[in-house]
Amino acid sequence: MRKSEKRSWLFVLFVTIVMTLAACTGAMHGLTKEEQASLTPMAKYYQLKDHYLKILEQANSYAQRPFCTDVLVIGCSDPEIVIKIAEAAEDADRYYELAEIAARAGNETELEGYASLTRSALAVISQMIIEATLEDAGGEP
Amino acid sequence: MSANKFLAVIKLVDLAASLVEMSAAARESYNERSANLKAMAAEGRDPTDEEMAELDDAIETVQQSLQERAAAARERLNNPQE
Repeated sequence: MRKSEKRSWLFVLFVTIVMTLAACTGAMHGLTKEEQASLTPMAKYYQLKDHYLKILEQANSYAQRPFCTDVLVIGCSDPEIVIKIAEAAEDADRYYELAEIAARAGNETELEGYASLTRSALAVISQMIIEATLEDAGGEP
Repeated sequence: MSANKFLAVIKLVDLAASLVEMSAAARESYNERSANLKAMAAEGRDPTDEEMAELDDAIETVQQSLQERAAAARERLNNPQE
């Protein structure tokens, strides 16, 4: 297997793990299936916001690293990626605000739809962090 | 091990650390919110205003920090020599 193929598979593996974690928000909060099912729409919205905060904290942790344009070290952040992450966070912010409207109206279907969009935007943020961290690691572009 | 592989391993370790990285205070807050959720499920109740306000404050703080850093990143890209 070529180095670039190995790198691609590694990347896919990490994205899968992160997206699985994102999809299993309930499990991450230590809730059983029954507990998850008994959450009110507003409680589900609270859970979504908590998940948003967790990803935002990871994104902020990446963004606070020294810029790679300033220093050549492991563990720097790419300014372009930081900007894209902030924009993706704004997208997630818009979606969860719509989720709040649905939750307050008690509309579970709409809530699930906007929650799904929020989680997708958060998965994009996680993916960008992973991609940026793996950038140039181990071989060919 | 080649230099590239060595670099890849270091970056993967760094990545794994960053994904699980959480300060003690952040972990405590997260555990507290998880406990709140369990209580909401058990009691079939909505989050209280106080619970919501705490979460909103935490989000606003991190959002502000991230947006400030994005502004710094734009500045850095526009003025790379500084």
